[in-house]
Amino acid sequence: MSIELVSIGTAITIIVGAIISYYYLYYMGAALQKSVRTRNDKDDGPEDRYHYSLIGAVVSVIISIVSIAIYGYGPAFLYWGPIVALLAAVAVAYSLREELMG
Amino acid sequence: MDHITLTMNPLLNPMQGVPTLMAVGLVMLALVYYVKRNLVSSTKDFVIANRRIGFGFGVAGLISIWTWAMAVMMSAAQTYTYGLSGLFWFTVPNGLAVILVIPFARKIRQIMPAGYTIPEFVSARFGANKLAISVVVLGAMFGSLIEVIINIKGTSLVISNVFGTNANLAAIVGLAVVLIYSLLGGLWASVSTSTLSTLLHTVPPAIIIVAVLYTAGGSDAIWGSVAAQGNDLLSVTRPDAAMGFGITLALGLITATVAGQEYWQVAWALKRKDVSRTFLWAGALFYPIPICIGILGLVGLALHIDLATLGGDAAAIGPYLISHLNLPIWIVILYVVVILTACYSVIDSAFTAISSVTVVDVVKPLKPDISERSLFVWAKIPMAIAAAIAAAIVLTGVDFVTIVLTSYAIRTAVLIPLVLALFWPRVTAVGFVWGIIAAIAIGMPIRAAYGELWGSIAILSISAAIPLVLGLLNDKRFDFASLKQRRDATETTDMPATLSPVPAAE
Repeated sequence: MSIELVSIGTAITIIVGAIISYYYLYYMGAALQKSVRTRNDKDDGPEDRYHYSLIGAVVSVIISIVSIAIYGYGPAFLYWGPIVALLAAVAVAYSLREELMG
Repeated sequence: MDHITLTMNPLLNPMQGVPTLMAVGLVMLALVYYVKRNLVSSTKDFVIANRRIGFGFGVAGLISIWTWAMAVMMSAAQTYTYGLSGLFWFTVPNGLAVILVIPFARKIRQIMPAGYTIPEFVSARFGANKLAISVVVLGAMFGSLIEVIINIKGTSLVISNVFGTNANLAAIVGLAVVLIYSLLGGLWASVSTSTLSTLLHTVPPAIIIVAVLYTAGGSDAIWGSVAAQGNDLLSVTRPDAAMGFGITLALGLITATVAGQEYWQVAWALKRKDVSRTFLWAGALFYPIPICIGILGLVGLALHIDLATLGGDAAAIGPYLISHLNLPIWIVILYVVVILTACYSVIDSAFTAISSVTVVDVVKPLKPDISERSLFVWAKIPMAIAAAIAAAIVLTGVDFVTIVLTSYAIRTAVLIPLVLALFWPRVTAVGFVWGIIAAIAIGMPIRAAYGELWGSIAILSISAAIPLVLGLLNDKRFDFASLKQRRDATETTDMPATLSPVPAAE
């Protein structure tokens, strides 16, 4: 018989995940509505002049390597995986907010 | 860890498989219905989202399009096989492959802002050379078809393994669900459903992994069990992981993105100011998904699950653990939803890629005066055909190794000639075509004889050498500025009369 109740850690993750999901879906919905409002606008904004691609690539690769290697340094670090997954959702929600505000 | 017993969850049954597939599909369909009503009224909306995809949808869409079902399962499988070195070699090249598209995406938007497809660029770059176009059209079509087949197989495997549902039934229902919503919304449907999928690829895995760590005995016991096995399982420096699959996988991943129509179409569909940072963020934010789910591989190692229990397939470690760890049933269903949405988002993006290549590189050149209404219909027909072919292959159990190999060979052989064509004005059509053909003709037998790594190196070397040598002998320079003057391929003469823009929502 499977256990239908979960641990305190799982319950906390569910609550944090629910809060993140709420904001994610809120910004997604708002960004979608903005896309509808601006669907016929001309793309006459500035050219792509993003200067942080190289440094961003290096930093993200280093962080990913450290995030994997850190599992080997102790049991508590196994929880780093769920934490970065939640942080990724926060970052994507932020990018949707950026789209909304931009 | 001996007190952990692994038995099939008794609450799972075959009747749950199809409703799960359909429930996920219905949520996607509801979203796409809104998108279809408000954002899609022309062929251009359908195949390239009217080039109005912004930063947030671009990031979230790309993450999900790149998250294959196999990626979700393989992160755990490689960790289970090689320890943290397997997770390292699986994860790091994966995100990097998306980030590496940046210079190419930026360049193509700069020199050919009104483009749609790789074959269209090749056609413009090499004066409509039929052989060059045919090779890249074939590569794009086969590549996308393979994505559909592999992911629909992934869908059916997970549903049949977890619930015991008939695998063929699961494949058909899954394919029908994605086809229906893809037919409605094209690229807008793909990007909006993928954005929702990205949420499901991040938050639920965090919950699932915390629950698994608890149910499997706690992080101390799991980590201690893996550490006790030695064998550098908790180190990222095992060389056998690099030689076993890492280097080959890295080459294959870079080929899949840089020469993949799915990524070029997003590059052309994004607002031009957002192209670089969108690909950077998508690559960087992809990383947490395998980093989190890969922990299932460590749990498999800790519980001493042998490969024979998994039917000899390490990819089954995730589904096996989830369905045998006595987890609450909703956690099991949540895991299945993660895999299903990964499958769906790759399939809908592949459908859209097939649609744009057909419209822009096959239908429009054959019938330049086609009406907008007919073109819009033609944008949808190839999706249905691709779904029918994929269903036939999966249902009949026909060996699709030939399609996989053809797709692999063309994509790998196209990579360097395509990059040269984009950046070097001296590349000729002859160099481009014969670089690809010679690379396939010589490289594939080498691959068959000496393995994937040497085959890939041979294909890449030959495909680089021929266009480089012939280019150095060529005095003429291609004028990249001429690409800016190209007309938008989905514009039709009757467009103003037939297009009735959907009013913006309040």
